[in-house]
Amino acid sequence: MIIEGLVLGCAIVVFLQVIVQLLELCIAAQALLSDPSEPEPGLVWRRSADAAPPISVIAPAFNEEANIVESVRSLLGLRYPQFEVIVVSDGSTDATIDRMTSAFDLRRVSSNFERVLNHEDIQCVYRSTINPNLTVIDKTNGGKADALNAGLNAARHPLFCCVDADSVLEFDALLRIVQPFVDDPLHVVASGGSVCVANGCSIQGGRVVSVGLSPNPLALMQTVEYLRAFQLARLAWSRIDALAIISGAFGLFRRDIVMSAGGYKRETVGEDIELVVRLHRQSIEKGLGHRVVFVPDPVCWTEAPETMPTLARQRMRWQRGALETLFSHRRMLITGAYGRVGRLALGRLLLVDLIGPFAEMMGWLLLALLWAWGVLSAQYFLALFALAVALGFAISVTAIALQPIELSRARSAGDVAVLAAAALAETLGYRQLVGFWRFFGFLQWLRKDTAWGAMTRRGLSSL
Amino acid sequence: MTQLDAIWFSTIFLAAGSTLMLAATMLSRVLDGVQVRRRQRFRERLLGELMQPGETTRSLRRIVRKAASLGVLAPLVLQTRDILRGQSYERFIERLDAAGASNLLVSQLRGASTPVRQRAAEVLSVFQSNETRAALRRVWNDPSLKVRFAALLASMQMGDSPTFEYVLTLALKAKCFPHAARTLRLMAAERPAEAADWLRRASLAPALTITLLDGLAEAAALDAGDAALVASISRDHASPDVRAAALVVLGNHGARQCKAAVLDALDDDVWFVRVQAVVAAGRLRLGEASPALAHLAEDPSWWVRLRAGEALQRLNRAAA
Repeated sequence: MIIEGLVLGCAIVVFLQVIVQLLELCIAAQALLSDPSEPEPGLVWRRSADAAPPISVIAPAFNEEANIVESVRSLLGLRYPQFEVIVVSDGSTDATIDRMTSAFDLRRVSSNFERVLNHEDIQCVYRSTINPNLTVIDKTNGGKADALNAGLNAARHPLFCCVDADSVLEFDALLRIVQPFVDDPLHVVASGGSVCVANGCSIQGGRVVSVGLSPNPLALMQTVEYLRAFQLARLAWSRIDALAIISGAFGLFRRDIVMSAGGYKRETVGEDIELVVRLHRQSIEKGLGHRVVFVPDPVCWTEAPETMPTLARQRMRWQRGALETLFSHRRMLITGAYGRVGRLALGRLLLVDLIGPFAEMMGWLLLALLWAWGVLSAQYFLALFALAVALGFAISVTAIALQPIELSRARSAGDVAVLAAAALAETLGYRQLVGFWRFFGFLQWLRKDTAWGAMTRRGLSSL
Repeated sequence: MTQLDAIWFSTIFLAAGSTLMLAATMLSRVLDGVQVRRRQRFRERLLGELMQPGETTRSLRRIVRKAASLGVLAPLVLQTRDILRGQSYERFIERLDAAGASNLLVSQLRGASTPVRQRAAEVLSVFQSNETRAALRRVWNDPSLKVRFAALLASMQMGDSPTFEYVLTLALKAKCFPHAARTLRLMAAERPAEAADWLRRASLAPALTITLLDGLAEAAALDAGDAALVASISRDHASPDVRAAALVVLGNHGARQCKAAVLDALDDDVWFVRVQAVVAAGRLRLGEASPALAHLAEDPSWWVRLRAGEALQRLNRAAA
């Protein structure tokens, strides 16, 4: 009886998850059809450059010697009327600062900015003699949020863009991501862009020169996952004004609003999702009518982990971040005062990202047990397994078909076939593995583990 | 149908649907590739024909028509505007016009798709004729704001500006504001006397006043009366944002006769007004501001301190 009840509970959770994902795909499809992006970079410049407000690009870096020069070159080469780049080395113990010093001829300058947000001590501030728009801050290690707060204090412009130092932005990404601020400057406080997997792409001089797919199966499955879960889902939630997350790898924010909200929370590893939820909370509580939006066409290319231990650490950290945010803003979920963001967006986070993987894992375990005990026939077990795989595959293929960004760059039917094969493989083990890591992330959260976890990188130029 | 059959039926249905969708996506990628190559071919052919001297032939007209239907024409004209200069550019546009490009783009202004209408409006400003002027004017009331403001900007580039009253009315609608503000800024930069008149006679919302002041800051010149008006705004306006924007205008235009307003603003209560006053004092080389600037080098706001240091350096260089 108990087991039957558990199986039924798991089935209901999985069913709700599927419904949510299908709804997301439908809304994203409607958004893509009704508002197609402008493919001509020249026209984007012509339309937006006059009205585009200045941006401070903040790139926190911790032991990024492999990528840092390439990434900073990419940032400095962005096509945007007025911007500065602030790299914050968060207590790097490798040659991050040395590499930048030799590549950009950095010189020490006095740090004369106000410390509105708290952060660890700054050791030194550098300016480049080659490019006056580049500032480098070398500070004591305090985590990503701490580094972002230091960058925010030093930023000079009304908007700031947070990017990961191990990522590469497309040359017109800033012009495209700023569009919502140009269209609705009174209400938009944050906008996020697409984050695509760079593994398999050819990168030269801080630019993605040709788009490809990685031969590494883990990276390939993450490509499908990014496509489905991180791009189309966010587009859908943005469409209904309930977007609860902007990726820490690429997001644009109004500096005054973030400063007034207290900057990034240093005690969490999910500083990106926590900030966005806090901005929503502040807006709703004060009746400010602020909006957080997602635009699919600005693209940030990022290196996905290619080894199991690195990917496991990343996913456990993401799970802890989501749990920390959900727990600290649980009031938004419980009371009905926070509208769509409270009930729908955080409800989705609870269902799809937190309970969903456990329910799925437990469901399979229980079905296997029932089959082993002879309660469930092998035919039923096989049929249910095939249905789950077909369902996951159908959702992923729909996402691949809808994908506006990567496919328009890849332009190859062969790539679509490879992605579809990866989507099938993803449902046959990868999803379950991620669920398993999420469970460990849950245990880490219970233990109040705050470690970030080492991320081993190959370097963007070697992908 | 048993429960088991239903599960298998659903599975097969999903798998078949997914496979079909996958096949359709792959096919569309192949067709997209063909279309991209076709567009590229037409683009190259059109460019080649247009760059050759000679009479406009029927074949050129046909290629232009095809290029317009493939969506190649508007981007090509915009790209060439950035590359070609002088006589080559004029000849290029003349040949395009003679081949019927402007008529095709005017007809696209009546199209159903917003992106197509917007592009056509953006491109039409290169064809300086009464017909295109009239066509663009008709789109000033397009239901899509994007198209409407693209047409307004294109008209302005052709020297056919709308009235301030018309754009100010649009700017009062919250949704129009960003686009209208951009248009207003350009208009104020082109016609500073008219913009100053509006500042003088109407009590505009701070956002609109700032927009007009931003335009004045970009204007080629400002007469003494208008500079005095801006100086009085920098002193008396209740909004610190407006006072700061007015100081930018004074600093940009080297209006030394307004130095009293700049010197007064160095004592403003709001830090970002002081920042703009400091910058203006540096630009205007106001030697008499040196003691106040030295005092501001110890201002509580680091931005003021930074700018005061820069302004003092500028004054020292000017004195040397």
